[in-house]
Amino acid sequence: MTTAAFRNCGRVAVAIVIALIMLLPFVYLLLGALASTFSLTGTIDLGSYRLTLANFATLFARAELYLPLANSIAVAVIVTLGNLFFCTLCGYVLARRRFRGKGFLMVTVVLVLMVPVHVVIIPLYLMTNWLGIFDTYLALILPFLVSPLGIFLMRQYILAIPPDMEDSARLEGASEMTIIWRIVIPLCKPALAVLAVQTFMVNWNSFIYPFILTSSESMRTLPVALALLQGYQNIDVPQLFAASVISVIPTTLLFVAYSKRITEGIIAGALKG
Amino acid sequence: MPTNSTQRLRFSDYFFLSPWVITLILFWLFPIVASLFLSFTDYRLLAGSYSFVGFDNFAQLLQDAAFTKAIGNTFIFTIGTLPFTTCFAILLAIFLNGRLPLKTFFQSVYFFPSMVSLVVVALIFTSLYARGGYIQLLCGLVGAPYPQEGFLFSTATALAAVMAMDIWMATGYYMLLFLAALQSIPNELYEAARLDGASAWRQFRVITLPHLKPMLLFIVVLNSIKSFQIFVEVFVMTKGGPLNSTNTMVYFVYEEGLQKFNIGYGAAAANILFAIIAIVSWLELKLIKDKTA
Amino acid sequence: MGKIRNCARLALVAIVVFMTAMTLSCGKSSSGRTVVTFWQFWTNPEVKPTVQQMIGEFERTHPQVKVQLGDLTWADGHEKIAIALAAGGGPDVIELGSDWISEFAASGKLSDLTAATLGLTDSLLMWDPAIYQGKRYAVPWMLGTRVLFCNRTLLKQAGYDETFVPKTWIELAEAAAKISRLGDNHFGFGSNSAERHRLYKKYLPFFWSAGGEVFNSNMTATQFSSDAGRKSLEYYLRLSANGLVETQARIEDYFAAGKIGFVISGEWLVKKLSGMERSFDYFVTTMPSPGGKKPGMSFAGGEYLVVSSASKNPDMAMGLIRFLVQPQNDTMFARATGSFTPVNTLSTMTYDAELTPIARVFQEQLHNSRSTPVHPAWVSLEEVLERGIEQALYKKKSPEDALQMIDNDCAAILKKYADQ
Repeated sequence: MTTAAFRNCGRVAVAIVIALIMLLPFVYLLLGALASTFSLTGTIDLGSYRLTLANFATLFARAELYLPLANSIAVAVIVTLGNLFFCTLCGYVLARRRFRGKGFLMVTVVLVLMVPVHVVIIPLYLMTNWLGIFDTYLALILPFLVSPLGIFLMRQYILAIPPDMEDSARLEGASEMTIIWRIVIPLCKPALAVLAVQTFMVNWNSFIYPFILTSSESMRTLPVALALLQGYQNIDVPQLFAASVISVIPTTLLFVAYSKRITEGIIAGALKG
Repeated sequence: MPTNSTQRLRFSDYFFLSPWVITLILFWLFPIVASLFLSFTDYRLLAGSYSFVGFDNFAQLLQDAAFTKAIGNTFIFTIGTLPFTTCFAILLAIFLNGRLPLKTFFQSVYFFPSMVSLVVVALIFTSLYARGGYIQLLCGLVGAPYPQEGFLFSTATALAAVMAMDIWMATGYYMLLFLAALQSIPNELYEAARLDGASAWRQFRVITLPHLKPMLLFIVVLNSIKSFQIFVEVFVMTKGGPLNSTNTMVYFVYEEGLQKFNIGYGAAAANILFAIIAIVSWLELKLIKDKTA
Repeated sequence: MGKIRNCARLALVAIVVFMTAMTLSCGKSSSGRTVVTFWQFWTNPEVKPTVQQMIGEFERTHPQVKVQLGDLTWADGHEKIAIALAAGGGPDVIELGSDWISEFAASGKLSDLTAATLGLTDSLLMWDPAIYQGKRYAVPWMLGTRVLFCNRTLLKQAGYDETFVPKTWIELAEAAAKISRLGDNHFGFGSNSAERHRLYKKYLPFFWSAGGEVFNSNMTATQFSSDAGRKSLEYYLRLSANGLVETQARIEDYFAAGKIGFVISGEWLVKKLSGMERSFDYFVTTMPSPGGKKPGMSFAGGEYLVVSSASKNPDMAMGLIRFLVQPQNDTMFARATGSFTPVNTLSTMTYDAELTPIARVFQEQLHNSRSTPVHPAWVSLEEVLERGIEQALYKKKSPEDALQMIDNDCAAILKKYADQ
C-alpha cells in the first residue's frame, strides 16, 4: 500500500517535471511579453519584474497585427469548413465506387502529400498570377480547400463503416446527397473532428504558402507578419513576444476548450489511418 | 462480394469529385509537371527567355558544395531527430498509459507544443539560445560546455540546437499517436501474460512492441517526410548560417529559386529532394508491408 | 428529381463558399480613375502617414489618378518585386534599393527614364546607382549613410579623455581592444555576423578606404585578393576579435544598452537612442581611415523610384515620382524618416538651418560614401563576398585564401553572365 502510494507520487513527480519542460518556454514567452524590462541576453530579471501590458499597447498602436489576425481567422475557418464538406464528398466516392482512374486519384493523394512545398511553389505562384488571384484571399484558400490528407482520412473512415445503412436508404429512394448528409456525415463525426482540428491548425500555422502567395501587407496572415516583424529594425523582443502571444491565444483557447475532443480525435484518426 | 454500394460512378459523383479534381490539376499537378519541365531549362525569372540544358542543372548541383552540404545537413537533421522523437514519444505514451492521476491533463500539456505555430516556437528558442540566454545559464548550472557566442552562432551547435527544438516540439504529437496504438491493445493479453508470470520487460517485448509496430512504421514515414522538408526553423532562426551549417535542402531551393531566381536550378534541386523523399518513403513503406504481412 | 435537387443543393454550398471567398477578396476596386500602383517599403508607423499624406496631396492635385499603395518589407521585398515584374504584371512605380536597379534594368523590366529625368539631374544627389549602361533607370528618393557610433562613457573607463575621437584604423582598433578588456560583457566593436545583404556593407567601406576597387576596368573580375583587400579584411577580423558577432539589430540593442564601444550604423540608431533612457554618453564621427588624414569611406544606401516597363501609365507614374522628390515633399519625407541627408539639394539648404552636430557628421560622411557596385549580377557576387568573409570570420580559411576564393568565384559568375 505505502509502496504503491510512493510509486504513485514518483510517477506524478516525473509527470510534472516533463510538463514543466513542455510548458516553460511558453511561460517564458508570456512573462517576456508582459515584462516591463527585458535583459539584453533574453533573460527576465525576476527581482525588478513588474507585470505590464505596455508591450501589447505599443504593439496595437502600431496596428500591424489587426489585419493579419483577421486574415488568419478568416482563411483558417473557410478552409476548414471547405475541407469538412469537400473531403467527405470525395472520400465517400473513393470509398464506395469503382471507376477507372480511381487508382490514379489515390496515387495523387499520396503524391501531393509527399511533394515538397518548394517543388510546386514557383509554378504555383505563376498559376495564381495567371488566374488573377495572386495576393487575394482566393490564393490563400482555393489551393487548400480540398486537402489530400482529408480525403485520405475520410475515405479510410468511410471504408470502415458498413454500407448497409446506405444501401437500405437508397432502396427507400434517398438521393446520394441525402445519404451523405443524413447517414455518412453523422457516422463520420469523429473523423470530421480530427479533420477540422488538423486543417485549422495546419492553416492557422501555415507559413510558406501565405508568405509566397501574397505580397501586400494587408493580405498577410499572422505567422507571416510575425516572421517579417522579426526582421524590423525598430521592433524589440518583448514586442515580438507580445505578438507571438497573440498568435498563440486562439490555439490555446481552442485547445483548452476542446482538449479532450482534439486528442481523442487525433487518436481515433490515427487508428483508422 | 461487392455489394450494391461498391458500384460504378453515379451522375452526382462527378460533382462530388470535381472540387478536388479541379484544385488538384490547377494547383498541384500543373505545378509538379511545370517544375519537372523547368528543371531541365536554364530559366531565370528575370531573363524572360530560356533554353533546354538537359541534365546540366543536375550535374552542376552535384558539384555545388552548398548543395551537398545542404543534403548532408538534411540527412543529419532527419537521422538525428527521428530516433529521439520516436523514442521519447513511445516512452511518454507508455508512461501515460499507466496509472497516473490527471492523465488527460498531462497528455494535453505534452501535446501542446506541437499545436503552436512553428514561427512562434522558433522565435522563443532564438531568444532562449542567445548569448547569455536561459539555455546557456542551464548549461552553466549543470557544467556542460556551451559556445560563448550563442548556440545559433556557432557552426558546431547551430544545427544541433535546431534539432533539439524540433524534438521538443514534435514529441507530443507522436506520443498521442502511440498512445492510440497502445490503447488498442486488448488488456486480456497482459492479464494472460501476468498469469504466466511474464516480467514487465517481457510483456513489453512480446505484447506491446509487436502491437506498436504498424504505428511505429507509420510514424517513421510521416516523420521522415516532414523532416526532409524542414524550412521554417531555418528561415526564422539562422537563415542557413553560420557557414551553411544549417542550410537544408528546402532552404537551398528557396535561396536559389526565390532569392536568386535561378528557377531552373532551384527546380532541379527541388526535384532531387522530391526523389530522395520518394525513395525513402518507398523503402519505409515496403518495410511496413513486409513487417505487417 | 432528387438528383437535380441535390446537385442544386451542392451547387448552393459551393457558391456560398465561393462568394464568401470572393467578398473577402474584393478589397481592391477602383472607380473609373486611372490607377497608379506604388509599391514601397515604408510601413512603420512613424513614416507611413507621411507617405500617405504625400499620396493624398498628389491625388488632390491630380483628381483623375488613384494611387494604390502596396507595402513591402526588406525581408521579402526583392523577391516580391522580381516575381511581379517577371510575370509581367505588378506595380507602376516601385521603390528599389540601390543595389537592385542594375539587375532589373538589365533584364528589361524598368522603363528608361533618361529623357524624363533631364530636368532633375542637377537637383538630386547620388545618381550613380541609377545609371546602367549609360541610361538612367531610377530617381533617387532617399539617401542614408553610415557613421561610427562611439560610446564616450566606455572610452573614459578605458582611459581615454573627453576629447578622444578615433581617426585612424589603429586608434579605433586599440580603443576597441581596451574596451573589450573592461570585461563584464563589454565589447569593443559590433561586428556583423553573416547576415545576408548586410555583411558586405560593413566590409566594403574598409576595402574602399584602403584604396580598393571592386571591379577591374573591363568588369571581368573582382579585385579582392589585392593589397587593399587583404589589409581591410585583416583589419575587419582584428576588430571582430574584440567584438560582438551578432545580427545588426542585436548589435544595436547592445550598443543602446551601453555594452559596445563602437558600432557602425545609420540615422535610425540616432533616433532609437534619443527615444530612450540612457546610462551613457555617445558621439558619432566619420569613419576612420588607414592614415587618418581624411575621413574613411562609408557605405551609402539609397532608395530609388523606378517605373516598370510594363506600366500602362508611365507618364502618370513619372508624374508621381517627380512630385515625391520636390523639395517640399523631400524635406517632409527626410524629417519623417529621420534622415539627415535629403536627396534634393534644394531641401538640403532649408534643412541646413536645423542641422545638429550629429547631422553634420552624416552630411560630411555622405561626401565620403559610395554605394553598391553596379552590376546586374551583384546579388550573386555579394553572396560570394559574404560567404568568403564568413569563412575568414569563422577561421575556416586564412584571409588570403578567402579573398582568393572570392575572386575566383566572382570571376566565374562574371564570365557566366558575360556569356549569356
